[in-house]
Amino acid sequence: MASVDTFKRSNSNCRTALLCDDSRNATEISGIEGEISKEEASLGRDMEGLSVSKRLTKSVSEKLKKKKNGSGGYSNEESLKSQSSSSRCLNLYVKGGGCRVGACEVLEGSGKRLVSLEDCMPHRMVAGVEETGVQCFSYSMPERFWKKNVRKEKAVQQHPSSLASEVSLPDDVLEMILVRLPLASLMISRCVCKKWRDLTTTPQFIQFRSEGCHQSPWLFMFGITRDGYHTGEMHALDISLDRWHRISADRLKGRFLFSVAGIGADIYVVGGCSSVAHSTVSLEKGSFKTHKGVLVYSPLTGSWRKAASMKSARSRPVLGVFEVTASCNIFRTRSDKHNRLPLKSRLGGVSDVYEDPHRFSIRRRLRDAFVEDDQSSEFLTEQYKFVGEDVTKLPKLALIAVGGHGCLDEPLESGEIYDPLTNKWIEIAGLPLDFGAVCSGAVCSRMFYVYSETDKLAAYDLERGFWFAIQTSQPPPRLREYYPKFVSCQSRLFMLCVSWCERDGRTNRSERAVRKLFELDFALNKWAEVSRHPDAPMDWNPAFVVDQDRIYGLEMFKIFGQVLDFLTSCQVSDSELKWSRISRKHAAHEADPSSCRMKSMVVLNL
Amino acid sequence: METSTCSKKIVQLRSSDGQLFEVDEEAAMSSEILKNMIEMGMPSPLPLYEVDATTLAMIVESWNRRLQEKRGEITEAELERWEEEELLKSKEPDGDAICVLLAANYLEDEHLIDRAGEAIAHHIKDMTVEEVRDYFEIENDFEREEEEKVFQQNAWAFH
Repeated sequence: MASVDTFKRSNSNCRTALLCDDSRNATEISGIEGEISKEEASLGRDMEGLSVSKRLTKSVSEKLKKKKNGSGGYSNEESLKSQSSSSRCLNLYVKGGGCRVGACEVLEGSGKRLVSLEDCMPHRMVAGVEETGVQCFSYSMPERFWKKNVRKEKAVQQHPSSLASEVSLPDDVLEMILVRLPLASLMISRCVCKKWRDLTTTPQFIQFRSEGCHQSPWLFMFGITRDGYHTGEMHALDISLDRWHRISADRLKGRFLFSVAGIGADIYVVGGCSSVAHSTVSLEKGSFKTHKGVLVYSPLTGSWRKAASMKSARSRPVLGVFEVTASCNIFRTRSDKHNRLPLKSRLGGVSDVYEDPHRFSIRRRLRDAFVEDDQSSEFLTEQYKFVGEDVTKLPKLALIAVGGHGCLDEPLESGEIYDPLTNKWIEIAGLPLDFGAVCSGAVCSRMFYVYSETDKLAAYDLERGFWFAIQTSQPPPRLREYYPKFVSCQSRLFMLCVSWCERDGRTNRSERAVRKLFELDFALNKWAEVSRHPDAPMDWNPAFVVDQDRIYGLEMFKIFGQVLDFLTSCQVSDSELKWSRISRKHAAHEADPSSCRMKSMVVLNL
Repeated sequence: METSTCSKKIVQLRSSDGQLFEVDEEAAMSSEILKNMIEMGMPSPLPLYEVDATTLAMIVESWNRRLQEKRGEITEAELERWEEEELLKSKEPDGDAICVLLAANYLEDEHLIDRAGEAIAHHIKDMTVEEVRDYFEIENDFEREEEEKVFQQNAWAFH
């Protein structure tokens, strides 16, 4: 528990502080310079006893010297005493909370050089800032407040001189610095020492960091193949600094045609294939196996984990991430089986929950419900809601996976939804009849829109849980060779596809293909062109993702004898949707042309 | 709490090394700690055991400037510039920002904590691991295997 650690840490630091105080006392009051070396030596010994580095000892004793020689300093003995005694009093609180008069056993052990008994008596302190926070009603004071005071006490030994004060920064102050570091610097800071690594990897720290505004968009590119092999590398672009990083991911070696989606600060790698014979990128039937498995990568902690596998093996499923609201019916019971009834009657409704403030019994029941549930597709409404509300303040996100190709490379019509909180997949109804193979999809305003290769449009109502087909007045004319891509941004649905560019309404002999951005007008069910991509469409399978109010596009193709990647983006909130290059540097060096087909990307805010 | 005859209330603060400072009550309210002390009616001068005179002088000045900015006497840009250059000495950081951060943390001045934290983070963000260790005088306490592991996990950020 964090608070216990805090006490332990601050305890040892307090002792250090005590020693410094004491030595200061000694030097000031005795006033003999020759004392310093003696003090220094004994201080050094004591410091060593606390396993403090020699360097620290040296700088502390340098401080002592500076203090002695400096002017101004602690001329007021009284304030010095009260300062020392106030710091000592705080030790009492470190020990166990509550004001204990005469709890000098703490002091006797370490404070061998106590000047007078007065210093032991906490209640003789001059009214000061610590006392207001740390008086006898400590239990009623918010813990954070007095815990902070304990830490501030550590700063007592600080002196105004510059670098020396950096010697022992209290943890909460250190956190204030580290939480403001950009991601790449944060990763580096983890390598500094154990304390820094531990401080920056706690869930509380990461939560705290995500609530601040020090995050910036990062783009992760997957699927690069080199020399016929799926390297299992990710290329990460720090968009704000235009710096590419290469992250090796052994878990992904040999895996291809998976889909990726970002949920919060995690990347989900869903499905995909791997070759049966290891080093070839052959897609002949029988030479590869299709996965149901889902891997999750957290760039913030650099760790991988496995999530529950899908119901069906899929390669290149069409993914969407959506927010689960209270009115979402997907996770509710479909039917009341009679073996559920006893459970339900025990629940008894809302009042039952409130009698159990920690929801322990609810959680246990829910867990048991999963164990007995072999279909794993049923949740009890009230239970789900309450457990969910407890866990986090962040929006609850879920993942939908539709279509893709199965084990025999056949197009799939089924779909499933994943709940990260319960780590379960639930099957949903299949696509409408004769829909065709799904080529792209996006979540927009509580619907998951999908588009088929036969230009059919359908939507899955994420709240009520059913599909419906949408008839649009006229699908945009497009070149079949280029896959259309759906993206959704700020409740607007867009499709990117390649068409001929008509010049003045008539076909020109030198007409060219251009990638156009269409927007669906929900009222009229009509597609309208809103923008044109400036680059010639060389990639028949580009990747497009949305982050906040921007659409990012990645095209990769062979040009001038090598495969290059081109990243562009467009800000949707602008009145005129214009595309611009976002990185002049290329990430995918020496990549194979097959990377074009395999690539996928995701943008996260980290 | 002393109240002067004029409409502005003044509070007296005493630094850890005994120096007295006078500051507008309104300006002092930037610090949660002082705000509480004032509201509780603590007698002047209010002692600040962990802020020395030099740092306190800088902090009082920053409060005054913030007050000026609030009253429209100076612009926000001017305030920011002063904070960056004078208060935090972002251009040649030699530990001033850290002193300010420690004092701001003690005084519970959110704005200053934010600014000082940013300044220090900005200063260290492009440093290498060794440089950070030198700056904070931290010893590498990793064992060999641990160090390798943590480097492996995080090293992609280095290149």
